[in-house]
Amino acid sequence: MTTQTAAGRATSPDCLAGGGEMGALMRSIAWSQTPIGAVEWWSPTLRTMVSYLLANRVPMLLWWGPSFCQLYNDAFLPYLGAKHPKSMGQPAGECWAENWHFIGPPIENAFRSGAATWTEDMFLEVQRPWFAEEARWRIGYRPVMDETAPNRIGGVAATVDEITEKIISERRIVLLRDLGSRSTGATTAEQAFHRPVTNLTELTEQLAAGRQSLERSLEALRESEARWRAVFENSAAGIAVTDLRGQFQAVNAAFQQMLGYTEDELRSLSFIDITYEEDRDENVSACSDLLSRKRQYFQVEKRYRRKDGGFIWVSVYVSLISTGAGTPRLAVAVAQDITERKRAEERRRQAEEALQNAQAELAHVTRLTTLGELSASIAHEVNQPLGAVVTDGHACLRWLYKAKPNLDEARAAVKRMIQEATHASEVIGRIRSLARKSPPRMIPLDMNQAIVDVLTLLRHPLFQNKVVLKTELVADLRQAQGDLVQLQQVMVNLFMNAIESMAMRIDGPRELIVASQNHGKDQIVIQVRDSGVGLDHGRTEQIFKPFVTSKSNGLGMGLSISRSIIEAHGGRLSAVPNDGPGATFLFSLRAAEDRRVK
Amino acid sequence: MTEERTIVYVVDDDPATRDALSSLIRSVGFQVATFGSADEFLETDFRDTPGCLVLDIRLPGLSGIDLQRRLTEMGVDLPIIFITGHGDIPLAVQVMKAGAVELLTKPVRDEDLLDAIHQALGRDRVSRRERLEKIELRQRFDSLTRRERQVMHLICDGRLNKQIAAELGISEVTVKLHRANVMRKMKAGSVAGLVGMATKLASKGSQGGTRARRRSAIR
Repeated sequence: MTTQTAAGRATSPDCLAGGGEMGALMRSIAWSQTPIGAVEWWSPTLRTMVSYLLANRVPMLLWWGPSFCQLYNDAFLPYLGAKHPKSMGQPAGECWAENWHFIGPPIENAFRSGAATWTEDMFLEVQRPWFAEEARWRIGYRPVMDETAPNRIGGVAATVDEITEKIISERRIVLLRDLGSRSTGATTAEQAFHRPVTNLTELTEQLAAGRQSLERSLEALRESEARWRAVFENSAAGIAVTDLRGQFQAVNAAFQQMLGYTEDELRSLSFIDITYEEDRDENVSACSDLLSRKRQYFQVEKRYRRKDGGFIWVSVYVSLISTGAGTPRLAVAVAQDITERKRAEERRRQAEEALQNAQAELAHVTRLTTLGELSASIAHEVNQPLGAVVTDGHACLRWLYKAKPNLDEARAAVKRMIQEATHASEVIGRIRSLARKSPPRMIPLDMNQAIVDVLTLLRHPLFQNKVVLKTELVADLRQAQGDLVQLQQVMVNLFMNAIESMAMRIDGPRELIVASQNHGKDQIVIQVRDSGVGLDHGRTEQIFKPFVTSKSNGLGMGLSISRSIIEAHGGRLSAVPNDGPGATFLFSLRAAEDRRVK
Repeated sequence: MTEERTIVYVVDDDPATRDALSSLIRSVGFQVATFGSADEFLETDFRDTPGCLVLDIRLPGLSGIDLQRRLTEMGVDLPIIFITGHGDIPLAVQVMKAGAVELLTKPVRDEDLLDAIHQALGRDRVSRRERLEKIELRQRFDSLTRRERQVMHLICDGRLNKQIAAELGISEVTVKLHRANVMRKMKAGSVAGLVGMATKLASKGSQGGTRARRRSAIR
């Protein structure tokens, strides 16, 4: 970046050696890009001045050349506020643009006329992130003679003195005059002497104490400010100070980097301008709570619109800055970039959604497979009522065709036909809902009814395998919260497994017991107990893994899907071997809010 | 049609089907009794009344086929019309071999069912008549002495009096006496009639079930 020559490299350390932090900064700067040019072309006077400045513990600043290129030492740092480090090597007019109308004239005067001047008791509002400090100081401006300069003045050197002490002394004098004037009302010499003396003693003590405490607090203030400045500048979190309208007053480097705006650009904006449109309302209402003192602080997660149009997610912590007893004038916002976290959350959410979709898809496919296996049973379930309808139809006609028609019998037959046709259509509806691919709908369910409905679909396999069915359903069963189709799928699966397990046994009774009961405060449990081939004690968990099956034609997905369905309902599905033959499968479900079946 | 009292028994576990069948059968003037299970049916007194059975093959507990077997074991000759949800050929062969009148598939055509019922009731009427005859023959046969039964057996084998006398070691006169007693007690008008009665006594019931016991009784 720099165009330093070999000679430059050799000579530059001479004048820029040491000098603490500013020395290091100066050595890193590409001076050839500044108005005063590369270090090797600096005049001997400038070099001397710079090494003097860097070695000095007193706050010193040097404006060099007609553009007043700015150089300063470590001690001057507190007066620069947020202007540093940009202010090093910057033309003074740029750096102090906002105060140039009174900083500029004495510099220009010293540079043109060669006369030393000073300004005193001037009010400078310096950019400080945490409070606006009213600082009083005296600045001395001295021209620096340089033979090589066009009008023999190379630049202007400045020193700064705090004059707070002087102001305190002046206040004391004012006070003493006041005391003196009050003592004039005394009628006797003694009075005249004692009253002021007593007062004076007291007041002097107070003043001394006041001054000491003021000095202490000023010292503390300086330390505190240095400490906080370091935090402000080096913080990885973005820190912004705004006025109470939300206009930016100061922002740190991290904040600028987050948003892609410079500090100057941000000063013309308010936090609303850079907040993502959809997030503004929440943010504004939180701010008004803050201003009306309903809240001490607030924290929001929101999006900032970057200068380049993109957005970032931030977690922002906002509070008012109280300065002593007065009304706060400023607010501070600490913003942390959480875009990565939000993206990770979004990715996780998408992955979970994809997983859920895949599971629903799989559940649907296995439901269809099960329905295929049940087709004979389903055909019977539909054919049964249709058969009754046909027979009733014939009977009805015969009652009507009689020489003396029997209308009562004909009517009864038609009523049964309607009932049975409705029943057939309900069976078809149930099957269609099992075959349908629909998103789960969690509603309060009567599980006893669901059990009975599923068992009617299984009458054929139960009959063919000579299984004796027993149901033990409690009358006051709580309603369960769940998706009917998914839970029916689980039950079809468990019942079919039980029937198939019993079919594998050649002898012994084949008995299927389905029981429902309330459990605990807010759960229900459904038990499916068979007298089939049973389970090995060690395999009760194994069977819930995918692709584990004892059937020659099974996919081994049934139990694993059933378990994931029950767990998605907030319940549990488990299996235990019976003491006698067979196994018992149990699943629990959460009850719907305080409602019973009847 | 109802000159004699008959009952059509309907056994089906589905109440709607039961009611529909009952209505159809009653519409042509029969008396109907319905049952939800085979066990329920077995508890009733169905032996004394002429009738037939309309039976669902698929029943919970004791199935239709089980009931058919049970009735045969009990020596009951009630004609059975089976009704099934699905045409199952091995099943059809099995029940028809075991003596069923008909096997109808749901939905049942009314004419098919009513024809089958008529046929079954006709068969029941015949078998009941035969059964009564047989009981009477049996009573007549039971009234014969041991010697008379021997003589009757040999007559039916086509032996002459002389041959019978020689075989039994008795006189021909005595044979003639026994023969006259047999003809009178059995109320037979001719030897051919007597042979017919012997055949009936030796036969199985009417139709259906095997009766090994009865056949041995005649020896």
